[in-house]
Amino acid sequence: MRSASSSVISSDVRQQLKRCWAACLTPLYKHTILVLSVIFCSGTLLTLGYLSHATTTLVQSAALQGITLHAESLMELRNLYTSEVVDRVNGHNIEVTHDYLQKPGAIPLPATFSMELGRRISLRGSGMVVRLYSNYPFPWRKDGGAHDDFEQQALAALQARPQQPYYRFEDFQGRASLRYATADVMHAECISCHNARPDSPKHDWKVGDVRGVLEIIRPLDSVVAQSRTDLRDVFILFGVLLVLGLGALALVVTRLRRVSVELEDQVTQRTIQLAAANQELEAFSYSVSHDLRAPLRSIDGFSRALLDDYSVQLDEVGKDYLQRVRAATQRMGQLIDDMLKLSRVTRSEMNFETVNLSVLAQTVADELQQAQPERRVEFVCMPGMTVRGDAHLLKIALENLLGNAWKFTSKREDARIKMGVTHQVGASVYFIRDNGAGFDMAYVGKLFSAFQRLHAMAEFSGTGIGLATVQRIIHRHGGRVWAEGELGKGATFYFTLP
Amino acid sequence: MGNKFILLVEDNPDDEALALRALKQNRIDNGVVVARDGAEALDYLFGKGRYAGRDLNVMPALILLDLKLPKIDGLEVLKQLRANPLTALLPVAMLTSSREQSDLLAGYKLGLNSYILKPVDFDQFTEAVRNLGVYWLAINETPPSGRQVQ
Repeated sequence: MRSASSSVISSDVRQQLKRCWAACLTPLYKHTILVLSVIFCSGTLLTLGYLSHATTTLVQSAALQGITLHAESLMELRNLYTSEVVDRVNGHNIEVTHDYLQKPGAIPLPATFSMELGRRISLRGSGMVVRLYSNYPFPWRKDGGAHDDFEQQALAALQARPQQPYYRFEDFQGRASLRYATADVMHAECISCHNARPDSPKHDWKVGDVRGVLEIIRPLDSVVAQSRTDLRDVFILFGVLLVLGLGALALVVTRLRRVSVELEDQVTQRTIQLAAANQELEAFSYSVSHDLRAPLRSIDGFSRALLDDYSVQLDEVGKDYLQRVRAATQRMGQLIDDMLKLSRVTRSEMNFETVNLSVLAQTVADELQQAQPERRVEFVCMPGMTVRGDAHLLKIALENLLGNAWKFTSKREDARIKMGVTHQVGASVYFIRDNGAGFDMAYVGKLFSAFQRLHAMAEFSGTGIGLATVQRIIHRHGGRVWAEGELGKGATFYFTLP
Repeated sequence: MGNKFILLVEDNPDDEALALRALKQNRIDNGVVVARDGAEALDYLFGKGRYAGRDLNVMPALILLDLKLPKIDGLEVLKQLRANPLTALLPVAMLTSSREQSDLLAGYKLGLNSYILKPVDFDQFTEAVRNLGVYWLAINETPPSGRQVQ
């Protein structure tokens, strides 16, 4: 019993949760279009935000890659100039100086060469600027030192870590730019010259010292503007798609709503038709109940009158015939009664409540025992089987099922009837098992049809309406009913009640 | 049983014959009055139509009323009986083949005294009629006639 009560509690909790969940979902279902719009818009905004971020990252990384390549080219060109030109003219009476333009036959210093190259690149109009600066500028350079915060930071950073380029994305002269600085490191071939020249600002250079900084400034505003334009186009595209999508969704939802309204109308109409049909059925069964029985009474009554008043004129065969007429008439009366019962089961109104099947079954079994006190039947019923259903109809079902078990075990000394429940996937299956006459599984399909009997009248009485009634009752509850059996070994009837 | 008699309201001649036979078998057939429809039953009870001038002090000790009758049905007859002080207290037993709950309820609501199902089995029918006769004509004290009450 305890396990039964705890399962009742847990099913209560489950139902409570189900109700809460349904209460949460109801407003969402009611405002489908609004909810979908919110979901769509947030999704679109998120996507666009991510796209914007991704574009910025892409622009920056592409710019960085380009500028790194550019800086490496400049450095390599300068190294090439130093090793292949300056070093080779050394001792050939060719002056290497910063103001080579003023002196015929002179060639530029590597630094001067670099600066000239940078100046010419700047002139091409790409907006790119190349600058060389140092903590130790040659005395003739007026702007050889650090100009702004970036340059000071770059010098400090590169002094500390010459291998690690220093860069920032910032506004330069009012344009969004990438500023990229690499260390200008002293190479072995530069040392002798730098330490020897009288105008050199420092004479104790060592290989690997940071001589200065090569900075490349690349304006990104055009690229950024382009990407912004692209992004705006994407925004517009998304917006259009969003509007189209939502429009389509609104259409679909509206259509669905209209269909559901139409369906509701149809259901209402069908319900009305059904009610009318039911009413007709009621009128029909009423007249069956009243009119079909009247002639039967006459047949039976006058047969009896014949038997009573004319028994002298009738021989035994005649009397037997009349007895048969009476028996058939009474059976017809019974059939009419049972048919009416069956139709009443179909049309009576359902009152759903919690029903204790165990108690109900015990009541029915007690009634059966009372009707036949001489029978000895062992009835075992699992306690605590509660279901939701119509108590009146369920009692009729149990009366038929247990009544059958009772009837078909009547020829056994050790009659046993067991009622219980097994739990299968997603459903409780109730069963009533007996060890009575059973039936041949070949005829199981006929079992639940009205007026179908699998036993001879002489063997077991009945009109064949009981199981049809059971099936209607279980079906009206939305459940299933089926049977298993074996001739002479008993039968088991199963049913579910969702 | 003295002058206690039954008014049988029955339209089906077979049922009438069988009912009379059952009454006869139980020796309660003295002076059974038969009406073949609801209108005739009312005519008899209120002394109208072909029963005009009938002594209205003479009332049946029991009315056996079929439910389904031509012209005026059993429930309507009952209603009119109960509405008239002359017949308001007469014992009325509905004798019918209808097992409809609605008929049963309607009958009792209108002041029916008894509701008896006509069984198909004539033996059972005879038994039922016997019980009815014994109870209403022999055991039961009939109310004073409507005239005397007035």
